[in-house]
Amino acid sequence: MTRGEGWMMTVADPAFRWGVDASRVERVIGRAEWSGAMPVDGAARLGGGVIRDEATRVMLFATETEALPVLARGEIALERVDGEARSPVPELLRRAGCSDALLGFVFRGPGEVTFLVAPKLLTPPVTSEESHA
Amino acid sequence: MIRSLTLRILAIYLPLDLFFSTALCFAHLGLFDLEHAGPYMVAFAALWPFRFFGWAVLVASSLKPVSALALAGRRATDQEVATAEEALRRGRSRLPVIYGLGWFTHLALATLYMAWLYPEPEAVSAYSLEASLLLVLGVLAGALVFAVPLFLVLTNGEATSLSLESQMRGIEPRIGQSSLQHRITALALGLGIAPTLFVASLGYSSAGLAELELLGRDATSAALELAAAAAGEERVSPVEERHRAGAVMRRAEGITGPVAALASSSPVLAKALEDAVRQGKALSRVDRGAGVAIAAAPVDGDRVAVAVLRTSRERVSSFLIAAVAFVLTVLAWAPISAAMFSRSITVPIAQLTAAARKLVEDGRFSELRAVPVITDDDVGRLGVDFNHLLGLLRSLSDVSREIASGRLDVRVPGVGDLPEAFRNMTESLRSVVQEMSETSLQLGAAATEIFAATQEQEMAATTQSSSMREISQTMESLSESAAHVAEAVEGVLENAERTVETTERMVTRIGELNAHAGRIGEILEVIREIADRSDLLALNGALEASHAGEAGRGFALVAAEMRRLAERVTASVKDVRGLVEDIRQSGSSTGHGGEQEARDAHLRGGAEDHPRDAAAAQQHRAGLGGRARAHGRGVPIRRGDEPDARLVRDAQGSGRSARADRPAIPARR
Repeated sequence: MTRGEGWMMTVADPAFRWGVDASRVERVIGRAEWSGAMPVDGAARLGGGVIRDEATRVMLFATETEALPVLARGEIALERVDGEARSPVPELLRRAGCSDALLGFVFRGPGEVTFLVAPKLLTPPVTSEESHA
Repeated sequence: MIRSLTLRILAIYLPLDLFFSTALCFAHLGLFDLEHAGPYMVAFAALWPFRFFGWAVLVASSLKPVSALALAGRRATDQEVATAEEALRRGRSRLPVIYGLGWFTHLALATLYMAWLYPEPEAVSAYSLEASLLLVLGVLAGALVFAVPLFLVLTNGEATSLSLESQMRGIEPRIGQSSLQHRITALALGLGIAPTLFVASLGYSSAGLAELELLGRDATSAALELAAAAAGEERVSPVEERHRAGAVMRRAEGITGPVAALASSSPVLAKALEDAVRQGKALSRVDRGAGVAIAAAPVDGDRVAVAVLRTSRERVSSFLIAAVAFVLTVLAWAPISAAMFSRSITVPIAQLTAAARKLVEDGRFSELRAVPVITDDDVGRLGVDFNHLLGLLRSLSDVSREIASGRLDVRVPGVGDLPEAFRNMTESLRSVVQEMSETSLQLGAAATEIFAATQEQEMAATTQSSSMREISQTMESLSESAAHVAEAVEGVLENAERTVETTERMVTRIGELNAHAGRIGEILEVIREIADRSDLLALNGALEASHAGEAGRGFALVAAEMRRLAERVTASVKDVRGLVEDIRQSGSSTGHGGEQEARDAHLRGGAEDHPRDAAAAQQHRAGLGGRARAHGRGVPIRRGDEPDARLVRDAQGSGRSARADRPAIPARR
């Protein structure tokens, strides 16, 4: 997704809204239909804590090796993001090394912000180390 | 002490029987003077267990009811006591007699053994057998005299206990017909005959044995005299008499003539004599069984003097006749003497018995004369005591008559329980009469007070009667109110029945509605799943459209529209499900309420309860009216029928229960 505009898959998690670039999402399936590896809890990976919710779905992320299942709670939506709505990562955070994980913020109204995160942030640490190796 | 009566009897009889058995065995043997007495002693000892233990078994079986009664103790029934008393009474009269007969049989069999089976028949004298018969009779008499009193003494304790127990239980004692005089006579006979027969048998046997011994000596003397005469060349004339014979025989010819004929009565001795003559030997032997004595004395080498003597029994028979005559004398004299003796005893007893029977049967001892006292023994003392008792009864009878005529100050003579009881009775009667007199005075005073109280009560009753009429009118009005309440209750109960029917139909319908709602829920779940899948499909479609860039813009719009549709469907399904769930809950609560109401209505207004409530109300109404009418008529009022606040409370209670029942049914609905 370019900085000007693009599609973003957002998840209205009870803890906070987060989103990823829609181009990195292969498919969305129901939790009950997923029979593959144990999916990664997206909100938990982002520090939102574990909240049990039956109405969850699994988003399959495209990686270099295999699809990464990420558990998404709350309503999922595909939204077009204009360049004006997207805010860059502040300099303070970028210097702290957060620019690789947090790609930006999308403001829709007062108090309604969506964190645009990098897919690798959702990858479990072990998988990440192996991939680096 | 041996507690069992049977064992106690046998323990006493056994040593005595062993002693008398030994003594009689030797006494019987002494009649025969045998050289080889072993077979007889064996036979006598072999008969002993049969006689004694047979009798012991008979005693045990006869007295079994007595032993059983001793084991049962106080738990014994009247029948058991009567049976035991009967068994002991029979045993006391029969068992000792059987014991004596056993002795008779024992000795009789021993005598028969001597007569026919003894191994040496020539050693058994006919005199001894005849003496044995006398001994057997003597033993029978002696055994009876010995056994009967001993058995009575041994069983007196049990007989006394049983008699007292029977009389305590009201069992009439059975008195036999035996006479005391007959018993005394029998005892005197036995005491006289037994020793007489003993002495006669011993004497007769001794005389017989002495006769036989003398016979043997005579035979030897005769043979020697004949031999001496023949040796002196004297002419010897043969002796030819009925009981004796003698001659000088030549050895080659053997025994011939009258000597041989007389000797043939004892074949054993005849053979011995023949041998002695042929061998030229001296011989002297006696055959006790045949009563024959034989002797042989050699004269020279060719001749032998022979003598044979047979007992004539005359001397011995005279002794037997004398003995039998003596026994007959005893048999004749003993009953006469015993009868005279026993009569001196039984006559005063008979007089006492007659007086006692008259006293018991008539009860008029005032007409009885004193019994005569003619002896100075126990019977005489019994007569004196009986007369004293009779005098006491007469004086007490006189005292009773005096008391009956109203003289309570009479003096009661005598000492003991009965006079003392009479004195206590007269004293008590005096006290009772005194108390009755005082009580009569008190009763008179009380009657006066009661009369006054009755007059006051009559006045109060008149006043109370007017109040009762007012109360009666109040009760009538209350009764009518109760009738109205009862009718209202009946109407309420009819409504309750109709409500029950309606509620039951409604519950059925609601059940059907719940079933339909469940089915709708299932369909909604399918729709929700389809919408969910459509939502996912639209989302993935939009995702693919975004991947396609500008080319997929149009498809993205379609996908977005599809998602909205799916979301609307999901929302609608959620709303519909909520509605259906509300309907189901309402139906369930209504159905449960209806069922509960139907059950309550059944319990409260069932077919059995309606008439009961109505009848109770009617009964209450009738009770109120009846009492009111009774009061109105001025009927006397008992304590339990006081027309007080209780009746009012009953009427109010009926009204309250009716009011409480009427709103209860709709409230539960």
